[in-house]
Amino acid sequence: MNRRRWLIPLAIGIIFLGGIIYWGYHQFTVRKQLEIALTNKYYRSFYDTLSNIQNVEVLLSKLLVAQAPQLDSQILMEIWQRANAAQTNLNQLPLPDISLSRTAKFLTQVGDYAYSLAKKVSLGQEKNAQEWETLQKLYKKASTLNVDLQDIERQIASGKLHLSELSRQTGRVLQRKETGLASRNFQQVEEHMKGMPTLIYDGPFSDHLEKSQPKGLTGSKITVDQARKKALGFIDRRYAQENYAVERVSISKGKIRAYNVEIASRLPNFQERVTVAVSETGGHVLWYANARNVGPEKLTLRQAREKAQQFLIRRGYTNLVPTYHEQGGGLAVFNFAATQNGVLLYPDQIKLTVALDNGQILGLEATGYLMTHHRRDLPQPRLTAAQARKKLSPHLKNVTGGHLALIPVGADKEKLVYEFRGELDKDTFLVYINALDGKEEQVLRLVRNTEGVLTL
Amino acid sequence: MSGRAAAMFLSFLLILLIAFFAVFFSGVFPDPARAQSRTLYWGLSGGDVYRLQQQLSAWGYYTGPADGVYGNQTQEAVILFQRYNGLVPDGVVGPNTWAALGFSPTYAYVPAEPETVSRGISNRGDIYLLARVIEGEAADEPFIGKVAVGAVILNRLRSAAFPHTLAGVIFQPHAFESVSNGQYNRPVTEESLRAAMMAMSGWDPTGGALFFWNPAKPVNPWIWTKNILTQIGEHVFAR
Repeated sequence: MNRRRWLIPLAIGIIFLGGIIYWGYHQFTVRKQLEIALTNKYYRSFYDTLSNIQNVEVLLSKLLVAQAPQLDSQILMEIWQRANAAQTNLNQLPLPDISLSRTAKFLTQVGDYAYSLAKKVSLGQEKNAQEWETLQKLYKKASTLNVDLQDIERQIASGKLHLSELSRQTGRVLQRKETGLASRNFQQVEEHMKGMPTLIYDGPFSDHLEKSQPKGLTGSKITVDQARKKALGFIDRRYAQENYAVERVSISKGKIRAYNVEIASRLPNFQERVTVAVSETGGHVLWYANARNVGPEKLTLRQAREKAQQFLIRRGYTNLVPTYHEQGGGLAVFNFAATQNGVLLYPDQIKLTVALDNGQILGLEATGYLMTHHRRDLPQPRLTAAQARKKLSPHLKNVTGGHLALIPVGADKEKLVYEFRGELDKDTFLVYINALDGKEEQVLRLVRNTEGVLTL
Repeated sequence: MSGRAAAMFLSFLLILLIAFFAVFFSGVFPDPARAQSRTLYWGLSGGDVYRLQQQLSAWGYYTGPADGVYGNQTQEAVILFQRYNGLVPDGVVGPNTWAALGFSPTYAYVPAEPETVSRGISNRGDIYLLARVIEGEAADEPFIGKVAVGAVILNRLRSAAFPHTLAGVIFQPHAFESVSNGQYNRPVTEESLRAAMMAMSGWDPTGGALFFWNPAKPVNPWIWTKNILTQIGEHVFAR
């Protein structure tokens, strides 16, 4: 009997211990597997980055000696692809303490520059001396980058460096000294990317676009008090102005310097918080947004658009016409484009959010409009709408439209075009024909569903 | 003690042990999505009560502390909210009140069938993904702060230094804390969806920011070298 007494707890203890050991081992193997899977992904990203950058380097050097436009075009398109693939993979590397933003930017710009140059040489033009020099500069940077990455690869191959260090998030504080090695190596890569020349070309990532100045910002500097008054008078209020008070004004130092005016309603049973950004120059409303809750939908889209239009007219925007809309969560967002002598100016758009419960304007976005809007010297069209229509594809059915519009082309260019709308099967397309030389500038597909009308 | 009793005790313990492991391996942790739709009334406590209090105080109905306990003050605030929103003022947070508060675990964006189906092309997936990160990063921020976080993500898309797809930006390793730790899997509120929609339509309260952080929390020192544009709610926005 006495022997049994200690046998039972012993048995329980052994079962417990066995259970815990099994559980612990299970956890350990699962964790190990996950870590290996993750590390493998990181290695894949690293080696993909490496081989793509090596290709970019070689291709850039080939460009320096190639002369024929059609060969240039081929090489440039491949650079575009390789550089983008390298950028994508580089951004997948888990580097918690450092940023590889300069390297990523370099790769984006190499790809973007190659693409814009490819478009040029595909028209049969040879690259000029200045472009050759730019390519040479890019080649030198690419080879530095390549050498640095090869260096890291050598350390990995010789077992000095493990990318798995980077995936080990737990206990990072304790092993910070050792994990610093991989970070330090990549830090060096980033250091060598300093002193990258400014690249100006016709592409979305060109450096000159960073410094673009607002064209629609007229008037002189305003004071904080003027900004408060402007904000209170501008927003769409349900009650008289006395029921609203400015709670706070802060300064925003974005592309357009502005006062952010925070307004709250004073009525106890009517909670509204509205933030209005009023530009320091000229006191234009850049945007505003009302954070109130939206009830069940009662208005139709047509009624909501009517409300939006009336609001714009009351606020002095009389030259705008509605273009597209989106809908969701009890709201409708309407896009309005400016017009000049009957020409639709697509670059200059204002967006309005209308609450579909009572038609209140909950938001306005005019930053884009203020960046681009100005009186343009529109050229005289050399083609009539009927002549332009003949340039359309014969596959396009039920063609309508044919009014003049100004559309953005490339990074910051604008072209005068005729806009046509046509159908193929169930899909609707917008086709833009240049009003000066009859070239087909752009095809957009119109997507219409319950969420609204979008262009892709 | 007889042998029989000992054997029974042993088998009882064994069952207990098995039960213990069964629970452990199946994961005892509650699913936040399910916890959200629980009906709340006086006397309860928990994370959902906390979220309720947060929302009620954000809208000015509740002035007490957000302590996660459904007390008298919370009940009064709920009744007040229900009265102003045309609900039965019973002080119980059921599905209708949850919905009026903007919490909808399964968010039906557009229930109706589209009139002309454009082969399923829409940007709804993008808006939803964006809303999830906004919810994860800025759940307790004011509405403008939510739009601002959405705008930062979209600004990154247009920046040369960041990935060029929405998923690329969001799932970049270590880019967003809530994505790294899974917080962005929380149910999305109506407010976050609206913020995502407005950010997608072009609202940018930050004026072109690429970074944001909470200055009260420890961050990488290099982030302070960025050019600070503005502060909205608890977040600093920088380029």
